[in-house]
Order: sequence, then C-alpha cells, then structure tokens
Amino acid sequence: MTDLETVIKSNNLFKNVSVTEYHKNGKLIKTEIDKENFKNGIKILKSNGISNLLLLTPYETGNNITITYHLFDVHNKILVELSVSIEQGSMEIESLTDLWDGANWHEREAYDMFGIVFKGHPNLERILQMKDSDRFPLRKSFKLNVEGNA
Amino acid sequence: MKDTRSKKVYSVVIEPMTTTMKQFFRSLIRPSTLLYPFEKLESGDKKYFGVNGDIWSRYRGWITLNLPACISCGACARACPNKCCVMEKVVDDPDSITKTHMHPRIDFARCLFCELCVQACPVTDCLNMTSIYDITEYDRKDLFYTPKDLYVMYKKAKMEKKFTTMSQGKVASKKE
Amino acid sequence: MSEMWINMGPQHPMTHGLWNLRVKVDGERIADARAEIGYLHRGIEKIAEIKTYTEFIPLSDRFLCYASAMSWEMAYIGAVEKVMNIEIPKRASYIRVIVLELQRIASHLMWLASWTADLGLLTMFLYAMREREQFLDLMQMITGGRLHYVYMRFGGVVKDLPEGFKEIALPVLDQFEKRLRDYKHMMDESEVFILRTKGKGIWEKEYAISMGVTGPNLRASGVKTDLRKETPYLSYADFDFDIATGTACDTYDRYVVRMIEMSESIKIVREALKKLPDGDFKLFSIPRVPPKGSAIFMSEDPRGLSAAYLVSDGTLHPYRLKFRSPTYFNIQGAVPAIIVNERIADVPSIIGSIDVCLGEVDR
Repeated sequence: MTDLETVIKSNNLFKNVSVTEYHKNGKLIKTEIDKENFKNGIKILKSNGISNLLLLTPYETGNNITITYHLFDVHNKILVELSVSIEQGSMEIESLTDLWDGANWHEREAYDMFGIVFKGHPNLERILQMKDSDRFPLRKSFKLNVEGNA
Repeated sequence: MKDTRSKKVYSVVIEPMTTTMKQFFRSLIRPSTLLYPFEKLESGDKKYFGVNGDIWSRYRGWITLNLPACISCGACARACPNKCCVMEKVVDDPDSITKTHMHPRIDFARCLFCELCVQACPVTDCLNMTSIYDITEYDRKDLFYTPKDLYVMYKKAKMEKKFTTMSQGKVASKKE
Repeated sequence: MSEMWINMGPQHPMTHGLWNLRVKVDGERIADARAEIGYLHRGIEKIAEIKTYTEFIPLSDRFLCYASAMSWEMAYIGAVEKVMNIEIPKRASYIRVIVLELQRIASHLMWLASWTADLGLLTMFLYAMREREQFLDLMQMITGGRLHYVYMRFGGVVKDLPEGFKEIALPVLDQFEKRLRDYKHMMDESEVFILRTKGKGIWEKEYAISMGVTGPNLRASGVKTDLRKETPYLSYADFDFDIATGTACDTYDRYVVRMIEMSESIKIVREALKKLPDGDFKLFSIPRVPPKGSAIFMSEDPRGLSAAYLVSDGTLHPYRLKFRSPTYFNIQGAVPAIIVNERIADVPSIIGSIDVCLGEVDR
C-alpha cells in the first residue's frame, strides 16, 4: 500500500490537490473530482487506506451544488476533503453505501435537506424531517420566517 | 477454599458496604439536597454538598437595568441573539435622562441569559447580571419586563448586593 | 414462534431523549431493529445561516448536546478560528483544555448516572449525579453557567480563570479520584452487574470503523485512536495522559474505557492547572468576520469525534455550517448490529452504554 498523498497526486482524476494540516500530525488533503469519475476516485481512495466517510456536506455554489466528502483514515489520521460539483437540474450522484455501510445516514440526511438523489441507495427516505414533508430546508431558496419570532 | 470465601465476603459484601456507609455518614454532615422552596442556595453557602468556594460571583442570573445611567445607544438590542431585548420608548419617567427615552425591555420568557447584552453595554454599572435565579410566574406575559420594571429589579438587587457581572465601559454612570 | 415488532420510544425511559427504537422480537430474543430519529430536529444548521457569528455562540451550546455544551462550543469556535486563521494565546488554550476536560468528566458522570439507572443500580445513579454537581459548580465558578456556558470567544475565552481557582479545584479532583476508585470497585464486585454487561452488545472492530463509530465506543472495540493524543489540537501535546482501550468490544469494556477516561481527564486538568502560563486569556485583535473560505475542525467530544465544517462567504453570517454529531453515527452503527440476538431486557443497558444524546443527533 503506497502513501495516500502520492496516490492522489499521481492520479489525474484528482484535480487541484493541496496538502495542509487539520491539526498537528494530521494531514488534510484537499482535492476535487468530476462527477463522472467520482465513484472510481472513491474506490481508489478506499483501496489505499481510507476507512470511513466522516462528513458529507452539500452546499449551494451558484447554480451548482457542491458536495464535500470528508473521508478519514482512522489508523493514519489522514483526512481527505473531496469536492464534487453537480448541477441543480440533475440532482443525482452515485451512492457510497456499497463501499461503506456508514454512508447510509449521511446520504439520507443530504437527501432530506437538499433533495440530492443517491443512485443505488437501499432506502433513500427522509430521516430528520417528517416522512410526508415536501421541503428541502437547507437550500437557499427556502427562507426562514424570521418576522414572526425575532 | 475457606480463605477465598472469606476474601469474597470481604470484597463482595464488606467493601462495597463501607463505600455506601461512608457516603451515608458524609451526607449526614453535609446533605446533598435541600428542600428547595423553603431553603435556598445562597452565595457563600457551605452547608450543602459542593465545592468550597464562591461559585456565585460570575453567575448569569436575572438582568437588571440602571435606568438613569442608560444612554439609549441600543448596543444591547443589537447584541441579543434572539432579539428578546428590544429598545422601547419610556413615557413619563423622570429617571430617563436621554432625549429619545429609548431603553431596553427584556422578554425573559425568551431570554437565553447569555450575557452578550451586558458585555456590549458601554456604560459602567448600567445593565447588570445578578445571582437571582428563582423568579417564576404563572403567566408568561408577566415575564415581559419593561425598562421601568428592570429598574425596580436593579434597586432591589442593589439593596441585597446580588450583582455578579456588571457592565464595564468607558462611559461612567451619570446618576447614582 | 411468531415474531412481532415492538416500539421502544419515543416516550420510553431507555431512550435518553426522543427517538424510536423498533425491535423485532422472537420470544425474548431480538431478531431485528430499526432506529427512527428526528423527533428533536430544530434545524440548527439553517438557523446558523441567519445569525451572525457571535450570536451563534450561545446557540451552539443549546442546540447541540446539552450534556456537553462546552465541547460543541469548541467545535464551532474552532472552525471559525480555522477560517480566520488565527492562533490563540497559550494561556487561552490551557484554559480551554481545563474547561473541556472538566466538561468531559461531567458528561461521563451524566452517562454513568443514566446508564446505571438503566441497569437498576440506583445507588450509583445517585452518587454519579452528586459527583457531577461538584463539576458543575466548578464550571459555574469559571463561566457563570451550569449547563450552558457561553464561555469561549473567537481568539480565546471571555473571562480569565477566577482568583484562587487552583486551590479550590485541586482538592475536588483529589477527592473525586479517590471516590471514583471506590465506585468502580463497588460496581465491579457486583455480580449482577458483571452478568448483565460482560459479553453483551459486541461491536466488531471492522464493522464499527466502517459505520463511522468513534470515541470511547470505538476505543472499547480495541482501536487505539484519540485525536487529543495523536493529532493534538489546543495544547493537548503538553500533557501526559494515556488512551484507554478495551479488547472485548462489549458493554463492560465501554464502561471501563469511560471510567479510565475520567481519571485521565483528572490528570490533564491537574497538570494544566500546575503549568498554567501567564499571559492573555484572549486574542484582542481578531477580524470581525471570517474571510472567504472553508475549514473543518475536528475535536474529541466525550461521545466521539465531533466536527464542524464552516463555509464562509465573507459576510456577517455563516454561509453553510455543518456539524458532525458522533452519536448520530454511533446510533447508526449500533442499531441493529449490537442488539441483535440479545435479550430484550438487555437492550436498555446496551443502548445506554453507547452514550446517547439526542440533542446532537437531531440537531
């Protein structure tokens, strides 16, 4: 098993690679990937020591939605911050549940809050909101009613 | 055989029992609980179980307002995280010394007691926190304190010496 | 034998909050289980987007875990400081370590109390709650609040440690260390306790890692990982402490790991009080708002690895603030894996042993 940093730097799937530290001795590798190569890239990372999905953060950037995956190597304390951008029109991306079972609730939450559809997810339903809700509250188009209570 | 058994009696029965008995006698000297509405924790009270120090000197309790010192700047209202502290016009009050007569009123039903308003106040000894923790009402409307009510609280707290964090600022209090 | 589904929760003493554990029972055995969460969802990540950075500090300890508010304040403030790219003074980081470790002890005592109450050991419940009171008193002395502290600010803490805090805190720590030993002995000699915890709720190491389980639960499964030790943040590098690990992956080991962690925390607080450097407790020249950018801050919460990810667009309000709640993933990893094939009477103790806090799960 080669070093994760060299794997990411030598592979041309990963763009804009930068290496910093999140804490002392903890390496943070920031990188970006295209939507088409996303699953392959994650598989490469998994075979090189990434042990679980730590955090999945979607947020709006203009007309696109950027999804930031924080992937963590528990044994070597390496954190990979992988950003993938998808268009607001087709809110679809491949699910990671077949690689890590732990991705299940991450993806359900992202679906609940943003309406991103994860292809191949075993039961993609709302997790924090009510099941019959039709809102995606963390999108910027959803405005909070602050007049009544503030 | 007998030896291990007596060892077991010691470790299973006697030793845990000693722990409990120690606790029992300790609680006779210094009780862990108090009969709340009849007895109250006061600052400097060492009768009950707890640390032996002044734990009340930074307590974030009821907020009071020294109305004559208030300069109507509105810093407290801007600092409030959930906008329960709002500037309000005080009519017919000789205590108010500013031109606009705008002073903070606080809706304690929604107050977080986070101290951000007190830290934002630019006047010394104006918006103060006290160690009063037990004001309860039957109706939440009664927890809506106008500037005048806050001044009444200020006078009461000053008499009982209940102030904990006083607002610190470059502007000195104008009227005592 | 017919199987049936039973709802444990949302109103059930076992849940320690509001969530629904649906278990499929086959006689006394658990055949399957599902977790339903979301009863306490308050939308903190959305509320953060309409608050300014300072206004969100009091909310960060109320909306997340109410039993360990200080560590969530740290996660939020750490993320903002990372984006601002500021280095806090040495004294401030020591004070932060002190309050965070006191918070860890208080949080573990809260867990000990509620978990032993699940097991029916009400003696230990009362003792743990009472010991916790001392640590809340210490926190009240430093911060002015008992549960919601609002103590940290960007660049340090809001007030220095009170005069004579060391002289008051050290006897409390010494006394508690002795009592903790007594309590552990008292529990370990109870045969009922051992029978109900040893070998129950086995959490396999590889499975736990892939599910994102962190903190004491993962350490009890034999993974020696602790962010405080391996990738020290604040000034944890200056202190000498051990990482507690278990081997049996069961309920009992999770209890032992937390008990050891409490005594390690005592060691850290004692050392930090001894070494406390002079200087400023706050950095006074900090930018008003963070610049454009994003940062993640990970910290070792009493319940596991917590993280806050902040995306700032340079305005007064956070553009996107995401919290990683350790219990969210601990519950995901626990149900149904660690309760399947156990008896239904053991479910409260097994679920209790993972230290559930619903405030941070539902956010």
